[in-house]
Amino acid sequence: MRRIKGDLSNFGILLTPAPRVQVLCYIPRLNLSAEVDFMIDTGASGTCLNGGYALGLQRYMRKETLRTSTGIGGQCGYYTETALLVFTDTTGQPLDFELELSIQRIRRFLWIRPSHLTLLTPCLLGRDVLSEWELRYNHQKEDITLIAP
Amino acid sequence: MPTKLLEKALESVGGLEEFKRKREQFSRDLAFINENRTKLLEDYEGNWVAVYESKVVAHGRDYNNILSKLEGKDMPVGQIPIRYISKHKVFALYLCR
Repeated sequence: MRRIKGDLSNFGILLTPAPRVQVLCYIPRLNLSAEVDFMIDTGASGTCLNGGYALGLQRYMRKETLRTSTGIGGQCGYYTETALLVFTDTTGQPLDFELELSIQRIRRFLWIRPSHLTLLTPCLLGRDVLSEWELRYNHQKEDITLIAP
Repeated sequence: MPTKLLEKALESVGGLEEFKRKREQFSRDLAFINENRTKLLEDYEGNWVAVYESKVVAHGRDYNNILSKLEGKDMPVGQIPIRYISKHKVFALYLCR
């Protein structure tokens, strides 16, 4: 078994810190990669890039992959891309997970910029990853560990 | 053995050692933002800031402008944390799909 350590973060805006894990997110079709800090979210069925991370990718997205997702805050469009998430395990070695990544659609209306709240939405590591791995979460001890078989 | 896709992912950041180095750098820059929050609030309240090698390398109210500035300086945009500096906090629920 391999272990990945996370930590707690307020993502610059949250009142209550949330579990976070750092990941290199690679999209092979575009040969693009970026370091992303994901909020670990057992309420999200899928892993998604939101906010500022999604904004920079809008120009590359394909309309045919667009679909609507419904969450507690309402509906939002998401594009889909095959992606590889690269974690670092506790021995310092990379550990990868391939998935269909959702990328938030951020619409622009003429000169109106997307709102700060739209851009502040954290990226979510969802149950497509969590259901394959084990998650240990002890907020008081700040122990966030993902365990891959 | 790394898969072909993992090899490509690592190549995209310059190989395994660069991947490790850049990850540590990103973590340090995130920590810099958290540790210097009070000072950043004084100087950049209501702004986005991009931090690289523990220095603010771009700031402004428009996120897209920050990206353009970083690209203009030929900086590794994908390796630089960009954070909104605000004294306001929110209670938030995020769900996807």
